[in-house]
Amino acid sequence: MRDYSGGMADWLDHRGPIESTARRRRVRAEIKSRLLPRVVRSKSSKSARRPAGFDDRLIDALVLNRSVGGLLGIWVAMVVGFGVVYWTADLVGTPWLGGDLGEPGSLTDLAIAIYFSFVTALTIGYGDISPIGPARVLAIIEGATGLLIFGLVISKLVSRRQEELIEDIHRIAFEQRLGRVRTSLHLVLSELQTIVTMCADESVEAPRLRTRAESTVAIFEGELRTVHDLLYRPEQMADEQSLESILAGLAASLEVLNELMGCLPREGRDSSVFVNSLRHIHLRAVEICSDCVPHEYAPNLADWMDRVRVLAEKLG
Amino acid sequence: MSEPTATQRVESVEYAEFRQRLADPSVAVVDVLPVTTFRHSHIAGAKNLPLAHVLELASDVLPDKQQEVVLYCAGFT
Repeated sequence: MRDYSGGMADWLDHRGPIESTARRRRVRAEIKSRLLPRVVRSKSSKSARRPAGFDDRLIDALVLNRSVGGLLGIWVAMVVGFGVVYWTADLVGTPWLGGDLGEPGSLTDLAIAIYFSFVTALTIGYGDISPIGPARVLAIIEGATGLLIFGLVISKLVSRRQEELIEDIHRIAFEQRLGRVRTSLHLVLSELQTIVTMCADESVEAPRLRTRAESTVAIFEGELRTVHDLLYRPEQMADEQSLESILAGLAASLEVLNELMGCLPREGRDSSVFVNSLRHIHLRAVEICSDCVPHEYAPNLADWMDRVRVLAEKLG
Repeated sequence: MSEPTATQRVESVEYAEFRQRLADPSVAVVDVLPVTTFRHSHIAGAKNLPLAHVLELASDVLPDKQQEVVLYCAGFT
């Protein structure tokens, strides 16, 4: 018996073949973000429904994946390049620029050509130097490209701020979710305790107990599923304190549920809804143990998880 | 199923070798993560034997006790 210690994480890094028996197909990037407990940047939203054509990929490679500095560098290089082209044309003979030029081939001429190039690319267009003949075509191309690149630079700067905001929103939504789970578990616990007390009191009829038990157990099942998700497919890591109180609440609820099983009269337990929920609770809770979950947790959390598992087994 | 003894050594295997052995039909690849994760995605050709239910399901998933088995999990414990 051997152990592939790298596990799913290493396999995915090497892009090994995966299968899935889930009914809905999901995007590859999402698989990675599900199994690995890191926050994946939402930059990988290139999960377009249609396959990216050649021109899309070209644009991506040349432009969209560059940094702001990179784009500005490209822009400057383009402008200087165009300037040199204007200057060489002047050198070769055919005057491409009209206006107050220097000697053809001189550095002054080069400087003026580059100056004209900048003025065109920034869409200023003073008009002291103007293009003649073929240079007009080049100048138009240069103007359009310069504008385009500038637009890209600005949009990159804006989207950076947006990405920060989105991460903030995700974090807040996650914390709210944690809070809701804690509250719900607390409610489940107190409701179960009430039912146990009512159970001990002989005067309460079974059907009433049963309906209350059914609905409470259904809620418990839902919250347990959320906790299970939090542990097995964390999009973000919950902080230790919240996790500990959630696990404690879970353990306490399982304990009271065990008590309830002992006390509930036969008819109280007969509904299939109830039995189903119980079965699901058992199955999921049993998977919450410190060795089963795909992440190292602090020892106190591991303790709670093991305790949850032990209680879950008793439930079976 | 024989009781797992504490002294049994489990060797570890690297990606390259594992990838090669994958094609070999006599090797069973076992995923010990829970069913939901397994259904979502698992290594092609792997069988599911969730750690939580290993004692109950082991004899069904791996009937041949002599078969060579490679286990894997999520990979960062």
